[in-house]
Amino acid sequence: MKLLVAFALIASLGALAQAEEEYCHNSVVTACSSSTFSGNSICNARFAGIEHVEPEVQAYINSQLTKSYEYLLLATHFNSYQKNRPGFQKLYQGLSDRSFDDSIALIKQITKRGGIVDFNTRHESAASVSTQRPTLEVDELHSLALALDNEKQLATGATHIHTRAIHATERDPEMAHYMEEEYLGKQADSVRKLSGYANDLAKLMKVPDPSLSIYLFDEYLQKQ
Amino acid sequence: MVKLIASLLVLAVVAQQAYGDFKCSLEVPEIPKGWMDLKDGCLNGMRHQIQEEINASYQYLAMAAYFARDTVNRQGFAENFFKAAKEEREHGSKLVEYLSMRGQLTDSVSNLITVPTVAKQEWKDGAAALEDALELETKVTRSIRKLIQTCEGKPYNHYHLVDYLTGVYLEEQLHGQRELAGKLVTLKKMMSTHGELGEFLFDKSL
Repeated sequence: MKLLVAFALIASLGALAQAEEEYCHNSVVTACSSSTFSGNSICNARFAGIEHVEPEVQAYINSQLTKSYEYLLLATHFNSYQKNRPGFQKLYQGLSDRSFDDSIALIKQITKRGGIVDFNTRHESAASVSTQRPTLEVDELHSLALALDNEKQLATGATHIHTRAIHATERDPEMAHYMEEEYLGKQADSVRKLSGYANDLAKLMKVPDPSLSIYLFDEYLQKQ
Repeated sequence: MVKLIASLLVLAVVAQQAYGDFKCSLEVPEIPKGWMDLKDGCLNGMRHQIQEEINASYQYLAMAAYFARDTVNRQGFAENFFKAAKEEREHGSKLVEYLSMRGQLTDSVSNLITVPTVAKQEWKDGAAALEDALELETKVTRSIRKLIQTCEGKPYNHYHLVDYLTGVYLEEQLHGQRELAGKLVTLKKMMSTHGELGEFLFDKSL
């Protein structure tokens, strides 16, 4: 009896999977035979593990946008006449532009896979970041620490999507590959770069008056 | 004994100098302030305008994301709206830079921009989105006009900013509005009897 139930279950699961794969064909058949097509869409591009990764990618898009504006304001802080650090400004403006461009790239990716974007609801996951903005009026070394933490959060978010893509019940190698190709390597580079900067600057600042060290480090950042 | 204490004290002072407290923030030197002549009303208006531009950027991003969907598949519209979202963000960030140039934004930077939500994430068709886009641009234009009035007002005329807002921002707004209006009229004509086919063809021409 148990065997029979298990068999029936497997058979019905198989039928479900088949139904998913033939969804488009079936809708066309139904629409054409009833001679009415009133819905907005008859087919979709959803396959593999899109159900599992879609909310994570949505969260990650919102994280990138949040960080993009945080970096923009950090750049602004170093562009004031009192700070006057064009090197730091350039660094953070670059990260802001990168996060904005990445948001657009992610929107294109999720819609390529039949997903949609939701800018208003914030799905809580490892791919999302706090919307509470930290105080950005900080000194140079502190700003590098903030940026390094940000970059790690974005790396964690990308890693989380990748993990979901390869470990959910329906796997999604296409999404995993996309995250590897476009984000994981790039985030590792950026984390490494900022950690290097923070350690360098901290060493240079081990003097009674660090103002010249910071000035020189800013000059160095301008040339990067 | 006294000598020992004295030498210990000296040593402590030297050590303090050599390995002193790790100092991270530098003092801000006093400089003349007369050159910073942006008045409160105009400054607040600018801060408001920056947020308006960012809001518009977000709304365009939502439009782009909608038309990029596989079930909607209007890639021409999507690309156009992605471009518009980038432009609006650029407008916002240029205004931020302007404030820095005028000696502002030495504090209250963290709350200059809040991450907005969007009023709408789905549209009936391309024409409805273009109509919303035109309304959005009109709203931004009105807001810039109001800002110009504030900054031009008595007793203090912000000549340079008013010139910048008029010559660069209004210039772009007015041309942008005309372009959107033209597109919208063409699309509506194409859709009046041919509906979806009109929209399909129009999208490919964008």
